[in-house]
Amino acid sequence: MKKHESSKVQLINVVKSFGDNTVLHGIDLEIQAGSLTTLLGPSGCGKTTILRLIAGLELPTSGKVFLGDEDVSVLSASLRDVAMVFQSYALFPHMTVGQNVGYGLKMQGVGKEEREQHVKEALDSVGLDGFQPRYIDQMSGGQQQRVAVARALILEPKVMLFDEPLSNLDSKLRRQMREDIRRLQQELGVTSVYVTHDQDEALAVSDDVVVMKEGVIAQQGTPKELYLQPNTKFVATFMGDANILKGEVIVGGEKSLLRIDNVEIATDKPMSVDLINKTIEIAIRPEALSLIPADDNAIGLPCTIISKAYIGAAIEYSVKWNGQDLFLVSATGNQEFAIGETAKVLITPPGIAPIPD
Amino acid sequence: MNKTSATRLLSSIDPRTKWVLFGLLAWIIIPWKGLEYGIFESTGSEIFNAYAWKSINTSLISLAVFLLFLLRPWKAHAKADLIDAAVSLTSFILILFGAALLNESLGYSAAIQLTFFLLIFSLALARMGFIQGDPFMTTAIVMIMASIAVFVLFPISTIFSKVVFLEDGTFTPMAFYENITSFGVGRTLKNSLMLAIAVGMSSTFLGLCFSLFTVRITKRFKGLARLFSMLPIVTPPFVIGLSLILIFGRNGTINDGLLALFGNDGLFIGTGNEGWFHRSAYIYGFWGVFLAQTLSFTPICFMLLVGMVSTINPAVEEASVTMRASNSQTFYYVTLPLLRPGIANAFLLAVISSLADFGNPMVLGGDYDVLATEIYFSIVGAQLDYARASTLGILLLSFSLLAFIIQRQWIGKKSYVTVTGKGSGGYFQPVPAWVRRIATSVSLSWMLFTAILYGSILLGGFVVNWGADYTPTLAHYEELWARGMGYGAWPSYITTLKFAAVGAPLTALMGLMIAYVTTRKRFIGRGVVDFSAMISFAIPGTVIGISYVLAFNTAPILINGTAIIIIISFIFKNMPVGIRSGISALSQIDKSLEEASLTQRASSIRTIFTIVLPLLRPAMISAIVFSFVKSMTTVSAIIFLVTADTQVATTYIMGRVEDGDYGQAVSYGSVLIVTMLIVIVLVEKFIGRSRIERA
Amino acid sequence: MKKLLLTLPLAALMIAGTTQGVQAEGRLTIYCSAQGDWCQKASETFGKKYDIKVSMTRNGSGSTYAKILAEKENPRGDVWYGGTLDPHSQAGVNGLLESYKSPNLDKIAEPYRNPAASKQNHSTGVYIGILGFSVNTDLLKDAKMEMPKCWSDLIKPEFKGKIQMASPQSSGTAYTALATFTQLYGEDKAFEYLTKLHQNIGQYTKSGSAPGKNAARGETMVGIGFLHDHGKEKGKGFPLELVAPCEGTGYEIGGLSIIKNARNMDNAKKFVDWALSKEGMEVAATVQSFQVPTNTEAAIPAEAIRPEDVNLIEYDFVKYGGEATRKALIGRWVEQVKPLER
Repeated sequence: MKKHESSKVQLINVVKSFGDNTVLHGIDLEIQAGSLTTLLGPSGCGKTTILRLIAGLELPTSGKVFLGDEDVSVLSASLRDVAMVFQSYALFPHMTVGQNVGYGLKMQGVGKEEREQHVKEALDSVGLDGFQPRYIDQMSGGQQQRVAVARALILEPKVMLFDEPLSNLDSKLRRQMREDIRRLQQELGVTSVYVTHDQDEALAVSDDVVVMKEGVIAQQGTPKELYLQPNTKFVATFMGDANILKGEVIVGGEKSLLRIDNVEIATDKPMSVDLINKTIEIAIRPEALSLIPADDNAIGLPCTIISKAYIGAAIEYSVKWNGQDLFLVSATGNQEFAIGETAKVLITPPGIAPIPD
Repeated sequence: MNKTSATRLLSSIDPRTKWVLFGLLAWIIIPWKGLEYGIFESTGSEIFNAYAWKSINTSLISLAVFLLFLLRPWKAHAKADLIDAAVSLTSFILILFGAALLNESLGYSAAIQLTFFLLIFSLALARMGFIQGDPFMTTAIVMIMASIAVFVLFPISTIFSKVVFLEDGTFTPMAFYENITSFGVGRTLKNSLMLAIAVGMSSTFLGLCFSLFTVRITKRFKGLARLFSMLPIVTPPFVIGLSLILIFGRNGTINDGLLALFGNDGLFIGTGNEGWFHRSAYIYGFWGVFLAQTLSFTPICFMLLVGMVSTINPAVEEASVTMRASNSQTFYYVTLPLLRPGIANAFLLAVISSLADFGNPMVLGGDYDVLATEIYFSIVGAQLDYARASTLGILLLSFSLLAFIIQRQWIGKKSYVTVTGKGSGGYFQPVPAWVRRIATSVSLSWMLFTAILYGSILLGGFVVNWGADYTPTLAHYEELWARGMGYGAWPSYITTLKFAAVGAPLTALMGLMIAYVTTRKRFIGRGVVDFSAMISFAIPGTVIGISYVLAFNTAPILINGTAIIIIISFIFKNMPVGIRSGISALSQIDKSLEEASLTQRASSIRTIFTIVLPLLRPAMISAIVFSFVKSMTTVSAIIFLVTADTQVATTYIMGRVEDGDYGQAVSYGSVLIVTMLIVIVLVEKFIGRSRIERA
Repeated sequence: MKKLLLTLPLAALMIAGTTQGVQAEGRLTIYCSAQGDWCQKASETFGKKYDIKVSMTRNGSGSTYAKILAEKENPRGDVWYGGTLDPHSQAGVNGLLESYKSPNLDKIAEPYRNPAASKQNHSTGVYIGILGFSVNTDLLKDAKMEMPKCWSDLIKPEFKGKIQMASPQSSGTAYTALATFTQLYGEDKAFEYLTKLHQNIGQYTKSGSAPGKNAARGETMVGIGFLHDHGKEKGKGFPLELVAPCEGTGYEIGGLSIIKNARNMDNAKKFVDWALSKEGMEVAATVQSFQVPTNTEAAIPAEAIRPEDVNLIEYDFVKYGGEATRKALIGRWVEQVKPLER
């Protein structure tokens, strides 16, 4: 299939209420043309509502929605140049695979032969050419999912929307499908918005991730930014595992110096000078922590090993420091510690993010 | 200008302007005022005088507004859409009230122009973002609300105003209290409720047995069982009552037979002895009405439940069985709960139908007074008392609504979606043995009973006089059908078919449309639509009939005496059946299917036709069939509306019953039954069954 | 859709242009409350004779009154033919009828020329029907009982459960019976009688003609009602004997009225003139309706029970047709008789 013409998506101060229940509180969001942006958050955070607002299945209570340069705030779904893959796939049970995929073209008035050609291409791109005459209930879950993707692709939409498309699949299939989706998206260059509550999925496929909480955007950035530099405790804990430790700000400004216990850590993160000598929380990824023997000279946090788990490529440790449980990962081959043994925890960037609020 | 360029020109015009131009055209060439004798019967001068430009009348409002819309001086205003909406709605209301005030009956052109005002209003609303900015859905909702207001709320408010206003307009606020506490009301109420609950339970139980029997137990009797369960539904009112009398009456077959065996001079007692058997009239009263109503309403429950039973996803039963549940446990904990919305609906329908039923208590009630007949006799009985009728009507309505609310609460917010975009295979688990035994024996004995009853209807038409003279004869049929097309039963028969054929698809469409918008769309006034639809269902036909006469015999909407009023009364009387089956079916269809279609660039109107309607096909078939049949068998709602030219089969039969021509009544009844069965078969053959329904 | 909308007005225009229409002068709408075949026959005969397009709607007198009342702003019917007089009276009092003195009035027996309560020539009597009861002779024979002859026979204990009468609440016929007993015995005595009769009633029917039909079909042994209804059943071959009770009995007058502001006033008058003529009255007998015609020149059918053979009471149509008396009597019956155990 040829590359799509894609457009950026923009939400300006969008509020959405259902009756008394306000689910989106003034969302400002820009999604770059050709990118794959993931909306990530716990259920009920409003991510699916944003998707439906972009699709036109809901209209904003106030605020504007732009597709490209066009204000589509009150344009109905059938007139928008977007396509959507539903969580339940929403394949029409009374139609064959071919009819399902060709449905949108038929609605556009595309002739039968041309339609069949496009259906063939679309199904081919998801590896299902030849399944046209089957009915939906004769397809497996993974196949149904791919039919749903093919059906969305065929209209060459400027924006593709995915509503938790993989949640009904098993994990192996899920990994394969998310790679397929990513590959297709990059081949076609179509702007895609992808809703999920699974952070692994989000990190794996996205150019950009938008983390949401209770109807507001918590943070937007590349997966790496979000992982290494979460702005809030919520983002830090939602995006992977994080140890939250209390520490003191020693130097503020362009760069900052923090201290936990007696360990000093330099970060690239700017820090307000007002916070100097104040205690703040610091999120530290498990990979930023490592264990050294208790008698090592390096400065670390003294701790006791509570539990360990061998997971193949690494060993996961739980240790107790100062009454607080810390979680860390040590590559196999490093020195091993036994349960009950005392050790020291070394803190090395990256993966250290002060979260002042 | 050739045709295609004309269409292109048309579609290039702004829709507002288009409706305005059409409206102007209608203003000029179609008569504005109502024609007392209808367009075909009126004289040239009567038609000429009805034109808008012939006299000064409310059409000037319409003309002014149309011209205003052509100019649209507020075009550049930021809230232009809001102004559009306000202007069009105001003119709609002004014309209706103006015409009422000036006592001016509105005709074809007025109807068209009022519709155009609503269209412009809807388009403006959609442009303001109403219903996701969807013009079709907005228009549908506006039209539904307008028609409900005009054809349900307005006539009902007319008759209920009789409760507090005397004939001369005096306000009597205490009349309701006086009537409700007057003698005998309490007993009548108790009778009605007891009967309704008993009938509700028996019909639901039988309906459930039947649907399990035909879908899950045997395919062998499927056709036959369907026929048997349909028969009572295609039977005109009075005929079931008559057949029960023929069989169970004091002089009926059973009494005759028992008498021949055990009575005086009976076979077993011997000549001259005092027999121990005496004729009794046990069929009159509670049990007769109960039996007749159960016969009449079981098919409604069956039709509702059979749809439910056949759309249950077999996978859930398989899931239950794999979790070590026995067949009985599966049936009790999975199958029955899944059928719960259906069972609740069936029970509700039967209760409300029983409350509103008029034909059966009329024929078989004896001394057992119920609300529906009391209402009728308050109007046509020994004393014409609108206040009493209206009071009883309000009572009846409150109980119907109560039943409705209880049912809603019971179903609660549980989701019963079993048809999703994800297909599923699998086979039904066998039902437990005890269920099979009960359902089979109940269904078979009920079939036998029905066969006997219908045998008597059929035979009753071929003997001189059932009960007195059993000589075979064709005289009844000759009298009805052999005297030429202008005589006997022919005119009413043809009229009936015409009305039912026009009414049924409209009724089904209206009902499903309302079901769709109330379940799938959020909009202001949704509750009102829902509630009004229920009102038109709960209200007894007699009250609808009289309220239509009161409401539509004067300006501005003078349609009494026409065929239109009868068809409209069919639509609004039978529409709730479409709504109910639509809601049942829609609750099993995943909403994202429609959303998928919308995001596939299908407009909402095309989504309806390509996705919703095909998936609703079983519900649609039953709605069309049911409203067709209901239209052919309605009597109470139209008894006040028919005229010589719009005489229909049921009123003809009622005349024969009143004159004591039971022979002709049952002959005509048989012909109607056969007609309706043929229609049902044809409809099913042409529209077919959907893939969703597992055959 | 667009095409449809375009063609719709054009089609309407064509219809409007081509319709010559029926002459409005040639129409008449009859609301008929007599028996169906009688109504049919009368409309056909009249229509043919005067070349008038007649539309006839048959409905009971109660329904017809309700209809006329509902339609009073804009009457659809022209003339109201047949049905018991009381609703006609009520309609006259409530200003729904037109006063008209037919030239044929002098051929009508005096009491029936202007019987309605308003006394303004709103209605004329076209027939009289005598109240009584009829007995199914087969059932009587089976039970080895004697033929009842009088009202007082009906309260004998052996008739327990064997009598049917309509409910005065719903039936004008039964109200006539109520009024008859009241005029025969005085109100309190009448209610004593009704209380005893109540013990023997098997069932109160809704419709006034049902007891006769049920007696004919053996559903009940005795049915109280208008004897001409019962005569019709007897004519069909049922084993019925018609009894005009010995104490005397009441009767009904069949009304004939013109509806106020009728659209076809001239034809309505023409119809009234015809219906009161000898010819109009004799239509009834041809369809086995055996009421007694009020036109003194009209032949009384052989099957009819003649007024001179019966002990008829002086029925006060003005008093007992009035709404107040009616409400009071029916109300008393509903409260004092109907709820009693039996």
